[in-house]
Amino acid sequence: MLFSSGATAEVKEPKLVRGWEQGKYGGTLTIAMLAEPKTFNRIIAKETASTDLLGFVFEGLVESNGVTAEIEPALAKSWEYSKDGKVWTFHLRQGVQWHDGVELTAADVIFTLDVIFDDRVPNVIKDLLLVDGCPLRYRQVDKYTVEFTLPKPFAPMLQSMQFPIMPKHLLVDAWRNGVLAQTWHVGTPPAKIVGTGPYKLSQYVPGQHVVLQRNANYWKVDSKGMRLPYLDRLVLRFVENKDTQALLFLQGGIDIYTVRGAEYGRFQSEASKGGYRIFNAGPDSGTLFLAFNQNSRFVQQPQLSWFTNQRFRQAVAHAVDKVAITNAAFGGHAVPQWAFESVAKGLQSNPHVRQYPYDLHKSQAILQEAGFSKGADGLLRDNQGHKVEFTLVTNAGSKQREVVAAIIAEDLRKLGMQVTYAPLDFSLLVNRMYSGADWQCMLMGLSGGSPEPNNEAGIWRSDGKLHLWNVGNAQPQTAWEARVDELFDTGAVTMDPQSRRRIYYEAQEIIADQVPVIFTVAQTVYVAARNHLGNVKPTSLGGSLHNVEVIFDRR
Amino acid sequence: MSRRLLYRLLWFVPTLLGMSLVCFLIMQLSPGEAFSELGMDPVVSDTTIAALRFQYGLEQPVWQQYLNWLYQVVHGELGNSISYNMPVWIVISSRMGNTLLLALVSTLLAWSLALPLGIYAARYSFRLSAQAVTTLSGIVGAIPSFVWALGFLFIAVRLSLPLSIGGATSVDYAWLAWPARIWDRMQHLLIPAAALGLVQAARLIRFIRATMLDALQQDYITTARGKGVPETWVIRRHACRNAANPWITILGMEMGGLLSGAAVTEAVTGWPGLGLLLLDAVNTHDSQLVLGGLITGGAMLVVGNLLADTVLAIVDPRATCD
Repeated sequence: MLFSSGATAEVKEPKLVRGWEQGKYGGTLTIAMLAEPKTFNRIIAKETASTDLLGFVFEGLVESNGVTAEIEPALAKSWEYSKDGKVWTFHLRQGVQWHDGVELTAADVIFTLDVIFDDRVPNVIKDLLLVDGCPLRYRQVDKYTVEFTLPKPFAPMLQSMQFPIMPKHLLVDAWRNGVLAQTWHVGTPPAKIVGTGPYKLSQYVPGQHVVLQRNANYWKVDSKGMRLPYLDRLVLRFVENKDTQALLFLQGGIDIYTVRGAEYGRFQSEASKGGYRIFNAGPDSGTLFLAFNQNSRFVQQPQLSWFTNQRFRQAVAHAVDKVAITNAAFGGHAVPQWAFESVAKGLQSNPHVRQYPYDLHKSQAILQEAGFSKGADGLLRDNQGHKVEFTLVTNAGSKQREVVAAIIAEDLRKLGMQVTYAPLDFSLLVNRMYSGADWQCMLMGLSGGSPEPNNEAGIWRSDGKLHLWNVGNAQPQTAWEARVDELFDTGAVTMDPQSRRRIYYEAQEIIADQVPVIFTVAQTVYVAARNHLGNVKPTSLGGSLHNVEVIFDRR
Repeated sequence: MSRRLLYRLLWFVPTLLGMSLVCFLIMQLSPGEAFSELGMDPVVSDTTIAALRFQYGLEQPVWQQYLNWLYQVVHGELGNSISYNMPVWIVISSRMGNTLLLALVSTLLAWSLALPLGIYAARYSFRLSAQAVTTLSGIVGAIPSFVWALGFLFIAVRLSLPLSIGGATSVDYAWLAWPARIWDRMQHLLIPAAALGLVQAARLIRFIRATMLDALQQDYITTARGKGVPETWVIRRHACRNAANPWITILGMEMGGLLSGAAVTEAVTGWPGLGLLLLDAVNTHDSQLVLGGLITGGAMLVVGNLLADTVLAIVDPRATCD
């Protein structure tokens, strides 16, 4: 059986995928998506529904391992960089075919980059390929080699090389005519969408589902030499409502379902009867935190003097009851977060940052040291005699956030603070966060995304647009923020992984020490999957289908 | 009749202008913008956001944006959807059939339930069973249809009923033979149609009962009964005929209402209709798509009213004399 089929010989340099149970061919996997894709054009795709779907169809030079988050070869089989870290050479895997049988070459990579940097095609991929605001330079060395030249060393370079490669032979005309952004929309016949990925689009019914068929000429093989992927068909159904998704899973209409904390007990008790297992994918990579506005242009005295006081923020941090939050808002399924890099990011997360266990006595003691005192009326006053009162905002409509806000506000009231709780419409809240105006204390969340710390520079650097506690400053306002800026600058150009990790560890220590944002908890992600599926291994960074090519049907 | 049709069509223009202007302004006044959520990604730069806004003319003043849109419409174009980056009419027409089907079936269901029950409740208004019908319809109508939908879904799963959850057809629909296709459609349609139809029926029952009670108190009914006309004849020929005018008007108005009213039920049952699409478009601030949907909805309302008028003219000759 080994290498017996003629087809395997076509890819000269297949990638061997090891470490999984030996699978077999056949079967269909059906999952549900909360939203439907808005486009089939991977370059202009902006929301996760489109990028998740097209992730099965289009691939980059490198890929991120869904378990270890390490960068591995994909369409490029290998790469090297010059001593100064400025010139990178990528060698393409030879014999990789587009779904229509045409061979992938360096011309496709160059074409894709031309498109990404074209002003007529506004896209969000470009932002990941800028070094100091400048596009990186690229050229074709030969049919299978591409070279990149950077203005200075750029540590996230490999992460950035995950940008999706598009077929030049099918899109070059549309690009020359200036209509590339309007090409390959969801009205395009699915068979015309051509990538290199393990699956190709085969059917799309608006508002209902999309069907993907196995790519029989894929460039990955298992340890027996069998061409991956194993599954014949993927069906992605669009089900907007999470409750309906749950019913659909119990009914057998979908095979994999992400279980919410509150549902965990019910799903667990019915697991053996329903023929499925629940996997713990670890803590979510997103964050949920409390922040005080320290912006002197928008916050009045006396609030400004409290919010800019490190001791005040630390006292509040000690008053955040993570156990109560875990139980009330996440059904007991969450872990406390201390460092700004979530535990989900593995070694990126510094385990030794300063922690603030829930202790109201300690909060009180810190407040007293800082000159605050609780009067006979039970209200906290600062050393000027001002009553400590402020407004806590979060987005209305998220039950979890409202519960978390209520718990925090309750504890702060015990300290004598007068906290007014005001839920706001999400877009209004986002507007206020960007402008820095009209808010004092905010409970906010950000999704996790990439394991690359430099991608979060927009939050932690003092000139970042999401530097929410003091937004809109060209210069750092404090010495510690200046140090964080410096660390992010060095981190971006430090190539050695060990020294790079130390740099971001220090940044995490500073943030934890200064607590400009007070982290709460990270929800544990549970995924239910039917017993007949083999090699299911969901992770919070990679999702349930990061290893889709090795998932198989045991039946 | 043709004069009346022309009159209706002419009225459509100012109605639409007013509707679109109000809708446009509300969308502008509501916080947030098409790309504000994208900006929450720390990686996406302000330059990219600006380029995207420029692509859709969002950097222009509000009045200019509205005029641009109007200019397109006058030229027979609905423009490009911001979130789909493709012509609005393709997006809408891909959902239109499903919405019409659901509207048709649920309306049929509602009327075939409401007509006999409403007439019964009026005819025997002093019987306990008729009062039960009235009370029950009050309770049923007070619960929103999406709650019914969730309930039906739950029951279907618990009792393992042969009903499908989500979508309008199965994945393998394209490979099915005709009889199997019809069966497949019915399996998908039943829950959303029942949820919508039930609430609609409950409201109709009360409405039909009230108009019938009114008609039954008229002098000509007493006269007919006094002359010894059989009771079924009294109800069918005299009471119903006279009570029917407002029913037909309501039927016409429902046509337009179904487009917008079913959005939440569509979301819960995963029905791929226009309501769900437009709800999504409002949430993502896709003003082009919302306005396109509005025009479609307006057109449906006009068509519904026209149909009702035509039927009315046949049923009641007085209606044509204006």
